[in-house]
Amino acid sequence: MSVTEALADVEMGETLLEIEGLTKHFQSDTGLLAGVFGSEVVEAVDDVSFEIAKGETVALVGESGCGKSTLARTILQLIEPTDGRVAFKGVELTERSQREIRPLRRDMQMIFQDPQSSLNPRMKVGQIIEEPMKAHDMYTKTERRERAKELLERVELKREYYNRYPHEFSGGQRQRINLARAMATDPDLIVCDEPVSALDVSVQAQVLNTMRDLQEEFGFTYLVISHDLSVVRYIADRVAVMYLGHIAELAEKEELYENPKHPYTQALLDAIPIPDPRSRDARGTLEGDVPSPIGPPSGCRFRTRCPSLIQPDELDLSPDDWSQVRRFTRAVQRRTFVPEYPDEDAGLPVGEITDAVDADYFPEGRPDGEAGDIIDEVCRSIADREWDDAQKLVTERFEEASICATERPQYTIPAEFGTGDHDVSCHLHRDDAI
Amino acid sequence: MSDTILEVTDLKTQFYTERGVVRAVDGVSFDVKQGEIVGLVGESGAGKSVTTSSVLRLIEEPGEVVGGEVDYMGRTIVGFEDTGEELVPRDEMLTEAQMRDQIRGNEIAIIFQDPMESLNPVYTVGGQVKEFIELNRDLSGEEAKEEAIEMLRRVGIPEAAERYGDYPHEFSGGMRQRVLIAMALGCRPNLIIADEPTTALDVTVEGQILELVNDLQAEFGTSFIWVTHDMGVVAEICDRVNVMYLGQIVEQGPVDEIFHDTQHPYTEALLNSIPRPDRTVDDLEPIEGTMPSARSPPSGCRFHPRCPDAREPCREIEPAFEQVAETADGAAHRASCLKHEEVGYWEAEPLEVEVEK
Repeated sequence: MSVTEALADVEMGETLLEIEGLTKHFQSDTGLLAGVFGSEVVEAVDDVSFEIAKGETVALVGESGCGKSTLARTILQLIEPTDGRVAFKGVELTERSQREIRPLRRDMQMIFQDPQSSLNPRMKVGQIIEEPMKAHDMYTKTERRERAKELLERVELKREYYNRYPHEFSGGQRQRINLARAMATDPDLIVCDEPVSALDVSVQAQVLNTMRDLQEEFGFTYLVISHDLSVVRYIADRVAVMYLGHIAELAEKEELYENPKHPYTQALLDAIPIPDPRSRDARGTLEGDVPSPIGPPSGCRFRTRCPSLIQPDELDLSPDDWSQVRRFTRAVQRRTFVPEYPDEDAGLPVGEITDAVDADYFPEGRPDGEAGDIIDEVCRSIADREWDDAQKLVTERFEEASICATERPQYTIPAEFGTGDHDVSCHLHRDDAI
Repeated sequence: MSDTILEVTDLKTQFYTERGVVRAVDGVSFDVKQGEIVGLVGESGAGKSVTTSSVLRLIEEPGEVVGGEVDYMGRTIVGFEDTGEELVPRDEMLTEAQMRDQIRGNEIAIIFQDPMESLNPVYTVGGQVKEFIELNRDLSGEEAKEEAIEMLRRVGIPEAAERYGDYPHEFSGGMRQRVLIAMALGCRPNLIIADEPTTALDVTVEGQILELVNDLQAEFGTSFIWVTHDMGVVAEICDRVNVMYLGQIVEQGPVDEIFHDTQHPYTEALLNSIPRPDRTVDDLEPIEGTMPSARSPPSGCRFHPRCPDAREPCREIEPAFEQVAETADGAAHRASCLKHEEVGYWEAEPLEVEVEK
């Protein structure tokens, strides 16, 4: 049975695309020396699962390097996954060869961020739009021409643009041409990679509205990749927040924006400047940078920056003490706490360090027990100028002993808004899981 | 707070191209007071960056500042006199050498959007910050180095002393932008021009930088001109705002008035066209059409072909840039729209807006 015959009919609202355990790891170096020194593995996408229903818009949001574009390309089998499965209309894409998948591509189209470079400057607009139809052997020549002109009208351009070249158009118009091209084969799924981020704000709104109108008319399913949470709130039905190759949180739009549960989502939403001077407030800013996807943090990948890291079971500190310990940990890791050593090599009496640490981080008294012992040891290392030991100690004992580091969180909790589930990858919600 | 340090009056900058003269900045006036953050907002092509480059006299061939005044604390950065035939620079206008030695860097510093372009890839990060500080302040090599490390630490570079010797490529985008801010601040300038400094950054990093700017401004009393297209950033940090469209400022006022007592249809349209992060909007109202070329701007009000409120006179009469509304603290709130003038706008018929998409 050929692939096209195997395609199931999917009604609106039924699952169109099913993604399970999808993983993509890259070898960071495949050159000659990699064989000698070994190569590192970049864990771009790691064990991601979700479904997309026909007619809905799902957005993948996240900051640069979070793996959202890799995920989309892996779903489309433009990149071969390392592990996991993708099923499109009941056909297992991951089990098929590229040659077998090829006829399916007319049902899965993609538009790219940069309207400048995604249109061939040597081809006329008409040819550009006809190209995918030609590739899939659809319609006769005259029919294709007529359809291309019709599509131009659908995306609110003029039929006469058929004979013009891309350079004659503005960014917003070019993105419409891209849309027309993607629609040409009457696909079910259109993957949009940052569809409006290269456009000016006023033009963004035009293109977003057109995308929405077209979806209503033709029942397209969109998978939108974006870093812009405002744009996503406007067009998406459901939103998946990605961080360093994992999905941190996935919920219906209203639920995600009004009831975010993952500390990363909360930080992300908190960080967006709101276009209203009356809603200025003290924002909790996220500290530090995104870690490297080579050897990413164990357990929850956000834990190294998480303001709500769960304390290791053996510590048993009050919330206040734990937050002071966290502050101390960060200071040691970032070496923002620098004592005045007398000269190049000499250390300091440990008493001076402990006094300074107590004054700066534990004015209410240092915690006793296990945590106190660790802090003592850290102070001794700092006094001896053994910074690496001190850093290792706080990292291992305070961070890596946490459940956040030892287990990867994956929970589904009841949603407050809407009807869907709310997936949240955070151990804070382990007791609410359904 | 109320001392004016920079006053720009009727500034005009043109570019001479093969296809004609581009009036990139066409009669722009605004001022900056000590310790405030002034926003310059608009879409691409509005003339924001040309305005700031003109203020620092960084315009190069084929461009030229052709008119207007720029006064910085009594010193004339741009000034012309009319000889009857043409405009020539006045004698007291600072020379190129004076601009270099007395203004750029130590009085007015500029931070650009792309930190990779602004840092030299073959010198260490610390070395570049140190050199900048040495050039602009009377500090010896060792002192300058200490100051450089201190500034890097202040802008939140972890392990600043250890990373002093790293090269720019070893820093992330956000950290590079911090380095540029450290550089600018290290020279203790009075005014920093920040040209879309957070546009290329992720939102959490942008949040860190905005926080940093707030802290540093409170501590050093530095003034900022913040160039951006992002109304969210404007709302977050600016005290006063200038909205630019096609080479001109169309509305100017305190930030709260710009958002809540909007007087120009372009500002209004801009605010209605942005998706909101804080609430679900059912329908965005885009601004129809695209910004026309600055080579042949529309007659009358430059926004009239796209303006939802345009009426017959808007095609003919160029609106004056005038005080249009009272503000809470007496600061000026100006806008250039015929609605605020006695030219028969209200009696006229609405224009049929016919635009290409």
